[in-house]
Amino acid sequence: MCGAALVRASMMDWMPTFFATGIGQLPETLASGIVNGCIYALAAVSLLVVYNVTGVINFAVGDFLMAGAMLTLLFAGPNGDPHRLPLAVAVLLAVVIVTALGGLLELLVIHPRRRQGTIFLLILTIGISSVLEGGALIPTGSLTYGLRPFTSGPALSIVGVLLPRQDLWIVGSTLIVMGLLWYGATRTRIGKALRACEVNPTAARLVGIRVDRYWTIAFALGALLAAFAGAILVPVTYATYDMGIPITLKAFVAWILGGAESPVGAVAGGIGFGVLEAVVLGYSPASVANYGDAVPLLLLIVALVIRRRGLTRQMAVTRV
Amino acid sequence: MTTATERPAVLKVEDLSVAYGAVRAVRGVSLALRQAECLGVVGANGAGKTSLLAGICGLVRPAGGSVSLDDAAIGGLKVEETVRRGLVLVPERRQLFASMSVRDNLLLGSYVLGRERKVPQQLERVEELFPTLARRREQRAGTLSGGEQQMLAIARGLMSTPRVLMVDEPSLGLAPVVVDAVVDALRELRRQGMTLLIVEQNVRLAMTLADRLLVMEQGVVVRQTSADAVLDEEALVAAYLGGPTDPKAERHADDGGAGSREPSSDRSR
Repeated sequence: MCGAALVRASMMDWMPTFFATGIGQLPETLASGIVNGCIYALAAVSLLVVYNVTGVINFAVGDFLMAGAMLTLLFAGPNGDPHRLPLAVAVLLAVVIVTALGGLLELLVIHPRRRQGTIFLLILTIGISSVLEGGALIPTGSLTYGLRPFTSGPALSIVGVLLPRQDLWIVGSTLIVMGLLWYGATRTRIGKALRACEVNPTAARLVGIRVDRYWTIAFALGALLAAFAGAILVPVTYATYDMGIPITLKAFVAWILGGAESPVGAVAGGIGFGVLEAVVLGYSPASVANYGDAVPLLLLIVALVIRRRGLTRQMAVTRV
Repeated sequence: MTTATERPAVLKVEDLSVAYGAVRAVRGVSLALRQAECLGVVGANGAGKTSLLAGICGLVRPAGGSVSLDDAAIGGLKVEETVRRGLVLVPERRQLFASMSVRDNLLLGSYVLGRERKVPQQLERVEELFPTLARRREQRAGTLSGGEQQMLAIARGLMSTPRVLMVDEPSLGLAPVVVDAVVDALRELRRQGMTLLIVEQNVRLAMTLADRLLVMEQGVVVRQTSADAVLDEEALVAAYLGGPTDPKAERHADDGGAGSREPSSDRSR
């Protein structure tokens, strides 16, 4: 459909659609936005952790998520498969493998080239993304796969809003992971050292922190967060080998919308973007909703225009 | 001084050179630092003092020469590793973790100790030396005053219980009153037997602290002597260090005369 037709279509049917699908579904729309937002938030925090410590924009974040989803499927198996592992074991195994993969790829691919500048490293992560996609395509083919929800049963009604059980799993476990992340960053030695690398890498070296190793740790942690998002997402969506890049884009938008600096910002950006996306798509006529994937790109342009500083690191202000 | 010369050298630097591309900032500097000794390195801006420290601790890879700590060669090791051997640099302009609390800055200072039991002890000792920091534990380091930040930088350096503490420009950008507090702390450290290497642009201040002074100029040591000897030639030193104008240089020399009693009284302790 050409642009003019698209505009005409939207002008003709936007308003009636809005009132027809109605305010009545707004709570459900918002809820599904929050659920998707949790996934974006996890992926955005993954981007943030890697970027803050290493200065690298990890374009492969969505593919780590895909790998987490695929491996969870592989281990948990489709319904009725007698060889499948218990769900908790499957998720744990998938997350552990992807975490190790993240660290390993940093060591083998990023590390030898880490002095070559951020653009070079960004392109390397695009390469990693392609390799992961290809690696998933070979065993899975272009088929789509789904998994049963973590707990079966009808949707639960909470203050009058119908929520599928897996949605509650997603929101609840995201909260728990964020809580653990906060605890780790503020209370543990490794967490503090990671933050030290991020706040002042020179000072980190001066107190004896091997900043090189924390690059690996940051990539592993980033992969962990993405893989976990993939594992909890797979029961509500279909996993495909090429699901990664759209999620990378959305995570990127969420990260920028949240200010690109703090984890709280990234989470807010993720949830905010999820809700915005759900509302825009939920209340648009089908002719517009078909262009759904353009929403994050449009928002990205808007966010980058507003955010004039671009992506430079905020310099620490120290008094003399 | 005689007692100091009898003690074995803790830190030995021989023929050290540091280069940034084609620019050689330090050219063939040698020095030896004995247990519980305080060595001052003075010189004008750009004389290579900071580069010397960077080359010794491995923040910059030396272009040549050797560094040894307790007779083990550490030249060429990265700074992350020399810290583990017990050589700690308190850098120029502090380099704190500005957005983190005073307490977290100190705990990160003891990073190389891991979970050793001496960490809480060391924290206690350091907070005793700098009571201001104990009162500001939860405050973010970036919000401290300049003097407090300098104290925190030194305190953080002490947290790993170093063999040698190197302090770069402790008085830089601080008000005179605040400088006194920082100097008092360094003097107390020296009294406790800490081996110190202090780089300082302010000669008089360096003299009040150090047992011996090295004077650097354009990357080489042009004079190496005891603090007293430099004192006798104060005017000459002032000329080396290139005071901004001549009248000021003379006034510095006068002030130096007044401050000259301090180091000798220190040593008599």
